[in-house]
Order: sequence, then structure tokens, then C-alpha cells
Amino acid sequence: MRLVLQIFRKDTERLRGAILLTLALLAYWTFRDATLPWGTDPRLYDAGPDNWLNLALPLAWAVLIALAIQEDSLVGDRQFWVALPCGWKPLIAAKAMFVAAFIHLPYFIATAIILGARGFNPTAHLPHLLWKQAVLLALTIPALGAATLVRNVAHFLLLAIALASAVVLRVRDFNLIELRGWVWDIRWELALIVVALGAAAVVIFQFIRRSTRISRTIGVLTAIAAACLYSWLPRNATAAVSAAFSRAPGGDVTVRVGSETPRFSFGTWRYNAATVRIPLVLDGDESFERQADQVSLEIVTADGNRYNVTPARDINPATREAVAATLYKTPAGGATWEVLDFVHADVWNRLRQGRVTLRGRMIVEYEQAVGRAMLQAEEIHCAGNAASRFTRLVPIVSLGCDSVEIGGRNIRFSDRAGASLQERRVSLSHFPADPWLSPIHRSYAFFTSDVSPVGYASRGFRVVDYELPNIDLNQFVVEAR
Amino acid sequence: MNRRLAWHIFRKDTRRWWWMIALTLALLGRLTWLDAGRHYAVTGSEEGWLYLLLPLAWSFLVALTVMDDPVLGEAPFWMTVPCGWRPVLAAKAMFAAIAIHLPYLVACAVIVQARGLSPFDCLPELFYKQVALAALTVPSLAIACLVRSAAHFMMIVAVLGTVLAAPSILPDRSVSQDVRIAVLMLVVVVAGAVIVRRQYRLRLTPQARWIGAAALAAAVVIWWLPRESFYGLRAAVSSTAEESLSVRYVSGARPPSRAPFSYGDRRGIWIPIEVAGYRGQVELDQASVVLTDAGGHSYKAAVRLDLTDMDSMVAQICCGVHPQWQSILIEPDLLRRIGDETVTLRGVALAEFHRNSDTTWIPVERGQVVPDVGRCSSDIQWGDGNPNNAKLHVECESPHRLPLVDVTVAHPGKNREWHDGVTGEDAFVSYLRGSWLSPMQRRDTYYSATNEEAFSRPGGKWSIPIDDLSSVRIAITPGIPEGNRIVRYEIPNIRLRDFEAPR
Repeated sequence: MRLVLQIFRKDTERLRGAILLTLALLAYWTFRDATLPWGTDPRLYDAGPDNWLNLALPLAWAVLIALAIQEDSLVGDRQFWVALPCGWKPLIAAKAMFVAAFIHLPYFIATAIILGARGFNPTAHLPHLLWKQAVLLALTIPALGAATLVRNVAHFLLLAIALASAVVLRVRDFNLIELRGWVWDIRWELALIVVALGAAAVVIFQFIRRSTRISRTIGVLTAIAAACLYSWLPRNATAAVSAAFSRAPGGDVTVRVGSETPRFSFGTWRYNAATVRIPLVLDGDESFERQADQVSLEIVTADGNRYNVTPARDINPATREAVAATLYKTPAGGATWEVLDFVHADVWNRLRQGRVTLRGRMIVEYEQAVGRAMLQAEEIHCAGNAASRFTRLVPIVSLGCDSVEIGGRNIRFSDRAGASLQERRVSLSHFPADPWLSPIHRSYAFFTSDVSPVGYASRGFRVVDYELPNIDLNQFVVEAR
Repeated sequence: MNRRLAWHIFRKDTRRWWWMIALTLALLGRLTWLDAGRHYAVTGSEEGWLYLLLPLAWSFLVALTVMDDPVLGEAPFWMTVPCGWRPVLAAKAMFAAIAIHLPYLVACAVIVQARGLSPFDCLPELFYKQVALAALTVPSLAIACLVRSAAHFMMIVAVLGTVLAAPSILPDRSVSQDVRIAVLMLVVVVAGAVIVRRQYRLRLTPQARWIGAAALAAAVVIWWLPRESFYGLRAAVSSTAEESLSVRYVSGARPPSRAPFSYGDRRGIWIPIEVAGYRGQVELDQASVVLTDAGGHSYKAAVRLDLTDMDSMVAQICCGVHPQWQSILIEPDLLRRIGDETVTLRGVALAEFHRNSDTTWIPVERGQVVPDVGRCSSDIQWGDGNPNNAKLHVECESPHRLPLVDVTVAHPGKNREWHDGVTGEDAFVSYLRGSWLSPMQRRDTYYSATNEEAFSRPGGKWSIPIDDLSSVRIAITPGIPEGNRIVRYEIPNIRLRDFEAPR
């Protein structure tokens, strides 16, 4: 233990400049995040500093980790502890203590301060704060792993830039703009877990064996495995993993065709041959609010031809798919619709000739209204602004909510057809906007009248396979050209 | 200077960092591809990341080559061999020019060409983009000359980025902002060049660091100064002919809407004003407003676009050509204190003059070159099926600075018109939005759609009926900039409560 403390003290003394700098950045971020204005149109204020700090702070932390590791470099043949009665254990313990003391602990304190400043009780949200620590581990462990594999900090930074470039060029949708992602699509999270596990293995192996070549091989294999996992993991598997990790209560769900008709008319579709909307009824436990997402769909014709349908979040005019499928739920407890957009006219003409069978898989998220009790317990803080866009004559009312456990997509408004809040993922500033460091969910919505929010807590997922036999698509056409 | 030696060092650096050069070229290639295909003012998420990553990679590439032959300490080899500092500096400069500036120039030309315009028509703009890039590469060279390691370099980059990102001015894309950026680039490039030259020549690191600190302080001051500080400079470099211009109160003008034009608990005061004495359009950018009551008490309004910093009184000139609005957001307590007393309003504004030009009509979902503007186009976004989510998107782009553009969407058969894009800050998207490397200036606007029933209801006229979307025509009328001037105006004896917006 004495040796651990000595190495820790040595690193602290030598890197005090860098430590102070990261602490200063963290303090500035904490101040910004704790004092962000409430209930304002997020597009009116420039979120530049906040978005920048969500990038600069991790970069500074990563450099600090690299500096600490490079103080006693593991690559080459200059390891002092090999020839001294020290061993690898005190060294790895000292480095871990350094990361914990100057990155994780300050961040933990910062997140607690932010919660307190925003009116939430930090002790009541301890699990959430610990979850944020786990999220931070997804940065610190890979940074530790990379730092043990390189000769100096310059190489570490080169590796960081190269990896970041690869991620940006490969992962197109990890910072979605104005687009709601599938919450059950956890490919990104799974890839991060693989990276963290691989990096942990590299760190331990490198400290024990100092076999750089083998460690680098493990590192490369980990990166390849993460990339493959992200790229090739099927939607079915992602949905199954989500449902397995967070299984919704209640019994089985069956799906059948309902009798509702669309509630609003549609304009002429320029790029669709036809749009079909089949009302679905989800039998089973109805004590929950349920949101369904399409995982897969197959259309089988009477003569045995099969058409695989691409699940889509939004209709893309440039799509090359013949048919796109979406599950759309009419707000305020309305029906769920199986929406099929036929982009290719020839496919539509073939399928409309006879009856078809739809075989699909959906993932259903169970939600429960938290009711006023939670609002009164100040789990969700909202502030409204009778405001207008000051520089444009469009009157709007903006409503902003802070919450800890419940995200903006789970805060809805009963008096506005169940519309949900948006979390700020779109930025008009210079920087990509994803406030991943913040312990607060900040969400907003615009209305033309006063509204009252209702929070919904997620109660898990359930994967549902369904079959709709003997369907005449012509019966459900909304608009055909 | 020994050119052979410079060439030799350059080749060595290129060989050593070829894969890093390849990485930056790959990033630049991807960015070029995305930018060449973009017809929106807003960048996509991938571009947003590339606009961060590519400058970071470039600046680190510059740092790596400099630190390959370190200037600091006792390492400089050229002190003891017959080489001298000039070939080394020339080699590093050549490296930056060939590995960074030249590919960027080619990328800009490709983007302009891909957008249907000729790169040869905008050579000054392409040259200006090179100067903008020099505001990144030269300081990177300078910082690399001053630090001992790559870790120090990256730490400084993180801190500098935070210092520069802190002020809330980024969305401001007014004419004075251009002056600010030009001055800032000048300071940064000159200071960087001085540091680099002195370091290579004299290696007086403490002195060079002081120069760097002074330049940083100057840059921070320039970055943090309120935008109205640059109005005078803007008016001086782009003055217009003297005319008897006056800003005056328009009595009897109706408020822009019955909607509550206030913000939070602030009361909104909307005073109609008009600019007389100029035949074209005049855009006013507020510099200052002072209210003086009968007792001689003065109340100075803050002038800012960012309303989230709640001052007790904030003033702006807003929205429209005739009338324009002197808008003031005022704390209820302060408004109560002023009460029904008459006050005199004294304001200063930067006037930007725009000569009206010919209107060009373009069909919907088509693009064409509009004289004095660039290339304008439109597209219909049908959304998810809900008529309220469909939009008409109109965009204009040019490598030159875009003038003020008035957009009118008209349905000739039904005699319906929708206007947008005259003077509102976001009538056209006028922010950089991170696309500072793009050679194209893009602005766009959106018209929301609705169904015929909602259109007929009161307040529904803002939106275009979805069935009309594909048959409208779009009129683009540019206002050609003719210069700027500072104007002072006075509105005597008004009662603020008379202009208070309903809540």
C-alpha cells in the first residue's frame, strides 16, 4: 500500500498542471450545466460552450490518463519495477487510484452538485449518479487500454484521432439530428461494452506480462469485434437482447387486425405508389401504455412469394427499398397502425392482386404513467415560457422540463394528443450536440397553449411475433396514385 | 536559404507522417463529398463531427511535423550543422501548404463546381477560405514551437477551444460579426507568424510565450466584445453615400400580432418605427437604446440576441421592413417604476442599405441561378403523412456573401401568398452552424404545411395548404448591399404602456 501511495503521489506531483486544468474544465462545465436557463427555446441560446465541453472534457481526461500511464510506460524495456521489489500490482493500483481520484470522483461530485443545483436530491438519485460513473468508464477504460499500448502521448493522440475518425466515418447515426432513435437498438452500447471489456483485458495483460505485441493484437481484435458487432448485429438480435435485459411484466401479447380507420387525411404522395395502414389491436395486459416498434416484417403472397420489408423510422424519398414498414401509434391511447409504404409500383401491383399474409416481429415498450405523485415529489421539474421567437413573428409557448430518471420522450401531454417532449439533440452551434456528461435529461416542447406534462416510466420490453393472415391490402389503402 | 535542405526535410516529414496525411485526406474527401451534396443550411451530424475532427487532425499534423525537429530546449539539430533555421522553417511551411492548404483548395473548388457554379468566378472567396484555414495552421505551428510535448499541445488546444467557445456569439452572423472574425483572424495569423519566425530564428521561448499570451488576450477580448463594438469599424470600411436618412415613430401602426410578445416574466414593448430617406431596404442592427424620463433619469437597455441572460431591459430592432419594430423586453418592476410617465427613447443602430433588385420566379422543386444571389432551389418534404409535418424548403447558396433575400411563395390560381426571409435573424438560416470550412454560403427557410381546413381557420394563414404545395411558385428578390452607416434616432414623449404587448 505504501508503494501504491508513493507512485500515486509521484504522479500527482508531476501532473499537477494537467490535473488542475481538467479540474478547471470540469468546474466550468459544472457551473454551465447547473445554471442553464430553464424552459427556454434551446434554439435561441447558443449551446456552443456546453457542447464543446462535452467533447473537450473527455479529451482532456483521456490525455490525463495517457500522461499518468506514460509516467511509467509499459512499452519498451524501461520499467523500473521489474528490477525493484515492487511488482505490477502496486503500479496498476496506483494508476487506478489516480483515475478514480482525479477523474471519477470529481465527476461524481460535479454531477451531485448539478442535481442539487437543479432542485433534485442527489442522495435519492444515487443509482443514477453511479450509472453516470459506469458511462464514464466507457471512456476511461478504453483510454487506459490505449495508453498502455503506445510509446508516448503523441502516439496515443494519433491513435485517438484515427479511432475517432473511423467511428465518425462508420457510425452515421450516433448523434441523430431531429430524429428519434430506437431506444431498444443497443448496438452502440453493446459495442462500447465490448470495447471496455477488451480494453480492461489489455490493461491487465499489459501490466502483468508487458507483452506489447500480444496486447496490441488483443486491442485490434477488440476494435474489429466492436465494429462488426455494431455493423452486423441483426435488428432481431438487438431487440431480443433489449427484451432479455429489461423484460416487461405481464403475460403474452397477441396481435390482430382492428377495425379503426385513419383519423386524418393525407396529402398526395409523390414518391409512393401506395400507402397502406392496417389497424392493429394488441391484446394482453392493458394496464400499461405500450409503444411498439417494427423489428422485421415479411409479406407472403398466396403463391408463396416472400417480400422482406425494411422497417423505417421515416419515409425516405431516395430509398431503394420496395416497401417500408413502420408501426405508428395514434397518440392518446389510440390504435397502433401497421404502415406500409410501397415505393415501387410494380411490387404494389403484384401484391394487390391477391390476399397476403404478414409475418412480423415487433418490440413493445411497456410504460406506466407516474402520475402526479411523482411530479409532486419533484421528479420532473418543468418551466413554461409565454414566449415568442423574439426575432421572428411566430408566437409559441415553450415548455422545458428537467428530469433525472425519465427522459424527455417519456414525458407527454394528455391535452395535446399525447405528444412527447424532445431532448436536445439538435444544435445550432458549431458542435455536435449530445450532452452525455450531464446527469439531467433536458427536454422541451413548443405549444400554442398551456399544457400539463405526464411522465411515463419505462417498465421494460417484450418481443412479439405476429401473423396477420388473409389480408387484402386494397382494403387498407390510404391513398393510391 | 538552402532549398535542397528544405526539400530534404519536407520529404522526410512527408515520409514519416504519410499515414496521418492519408487520414486527413480521407476526412477531407468525405467532408467534400457531403458538402458537395448538401442543399441545406444545416449540416448533418456526420459533417458536424468532421468539422471538429478535421481541424483537430490538421492542427495535430502540423504539431507533429514541428515536434519532429523540436524548436524547444537543446534539441534543434540545425544549430550544429550547416543548415540554419530558414530551410527548416521553409520545410515546415511547405508541408502545411502541400499537405493541408492545397488539398483544401482543391476540395473547395470541387464543392463549388459540384454545386453548379464555376470556381474561377469566386477565386477571391477561395483565397479568403485559405486565409481562414491559415488562422488554424499558423497558430498550430506557433503553439507547437512553444510546447515540449504533444500532450501539452493537446491540453492547450482543449483550453483554447473552451476559452473561445465560451461567449454566446456563435449564432450571430451579422455583418459586424464578419468584421470581428476578420480582425480576429488577422491578430491570430500575425501573432502566430511572429512567434514562429522568432522561435526558429532566436529560440527565445519565454519571450515567444509572452507574445502568445498577449495575442491570446487580444483574441479573447475581440471574441468577447459585444457586437455593437464593431459597428463603427464596419461603417468605416463599408460606408455609403450621405443621404438624409431618418428613423421615426410610425403612429397608428398595428402590433404585429395579438400574440403575447413577451419573454418569461418580461413585458414586451413594441414601438413601430420606419426608416425614411432611402429608396431601398434598410436593415437596422441595434447598437444602443437609452430611455430618459421627464425627471432626467436614464435607463440603458442591454442589446443582445441571447434572451436567456435576463437583463432588466433588452432592446432590439425587429422583424419586417415596414414598419420595423423597436422592441424592448422590460422587467415588470422597472416598467412599474417608469409607470405612465412619458419617456424619450434615444437609439443608435447600424443601418445596412440594400438596393432592391429584380425578382426572379422559380418553379417549385427546381433549382436555378438567380442574378445577384447565386443558385436557389426548393424541395417539398412530405414528412410522415401528417399534413402538419410537411414543409416547403427554399434554399439559396453562393460562394459569395449572400445578400438580403426576400422570398415570396405564391399560388397564382388561388391568389395566395406567403412571405418570409426579409430581416428576421432566422428567416434564412444565417448561422455558420459549424460549416466554416465550406466554400458555400447557404441560407434556407421553411414554410410549414397544413390542411385546407386549418388554413381557413383564424391564424392558419401562416402555413401552406398541403394540396397547394406542388403548384406554388417562388419569387426571390435580392437586396443588394450598398454599405453601412451608423444612425442615431430619437422618439420623444412616448408612454411605454401604450406599446405593451398583450400577455
